Amino acid sequence: MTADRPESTVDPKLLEILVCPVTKGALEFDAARQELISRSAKLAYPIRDGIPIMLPEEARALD
Amino acid sequence: MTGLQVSPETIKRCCAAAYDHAAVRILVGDALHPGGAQLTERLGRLLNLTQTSRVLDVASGRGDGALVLAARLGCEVVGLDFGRRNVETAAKEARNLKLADRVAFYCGDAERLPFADGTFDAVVCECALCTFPDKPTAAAEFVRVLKSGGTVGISDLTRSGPLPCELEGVAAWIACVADARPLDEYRALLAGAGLAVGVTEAHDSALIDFVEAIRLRLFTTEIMVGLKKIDLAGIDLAAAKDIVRHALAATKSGVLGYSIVTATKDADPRAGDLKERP
Repeated sequence: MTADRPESTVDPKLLEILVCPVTKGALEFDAARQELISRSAKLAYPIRDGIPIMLPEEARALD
Repeated sequence: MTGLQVSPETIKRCCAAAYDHAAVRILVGDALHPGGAQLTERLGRLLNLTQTSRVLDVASGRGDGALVLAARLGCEVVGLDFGRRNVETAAKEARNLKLADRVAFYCGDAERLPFADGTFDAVVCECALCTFPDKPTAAAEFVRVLKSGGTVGISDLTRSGPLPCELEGVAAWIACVADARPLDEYRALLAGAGLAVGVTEAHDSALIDFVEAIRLRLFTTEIMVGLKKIDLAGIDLAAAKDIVRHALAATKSGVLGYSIVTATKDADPRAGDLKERP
């Protein structure tokens, strides 16, 4: 984790406009894991170096 | 329509990979679309973008267009691109230009936009729609994320007749040529997504200049490779030269062109460019 680097934080204002690309449902920000969680799609989208990767094929499947 | 025997996923991957390949940068130069910053600004002005506009740039590449809109017109811009390295480069450039408070870049797919309904005042898409495998789905997504009265501005390659067979195939697709559509098809695509088509502007000379510049760069690149000054791993120079030669001929004969098309969501009086208004 590189939590002290500015790139590893995501602007909360911009997180407001992001939704799950599959279900268009809301996302939860997991700061510890640097992931955006879509409960509706059961997917966790990674944030790498501060950049949300909003591609289902790059997302981690949730149990 | 082209009869490519390649999956849409492969095309998207190839496209994104090619556009963030250093060698492509050497060949195409700083502007990855015809007309460069000047044409981006023109598109922004046609859409009446101001400091209060929130804009989505679909297939934002290395961020050039998004950064021009933020710097020159003061709008807030979100750039989305399929290629992660492109997005990283764009975000870095935004910080370098002290525009990171107004411009953000995400990795995502034009056909599955990761934004809430009615988020943006405008959607721009420069020289990229012609590479999308599923254009109607992308257009529908543009409309979904637009506010009521919001505008779409695309600039893209147009084709007014059959292309030579050398311009078919994946390599030419990546070069944004093989799936260029007649201007009326772009208008129909936007209308089919429920938009009111507004202004159409031809910028064919920008395309001729662009292809001519690539041809000159290929020529100097070939010399550099010959002198072993640079190494273009994975790039077939002979094939590239062939594509550029045919593209230049098609551009000069008017078969290939470049145009801006704008459109508006709902018949809202805010869109002053609409010719249909009484």
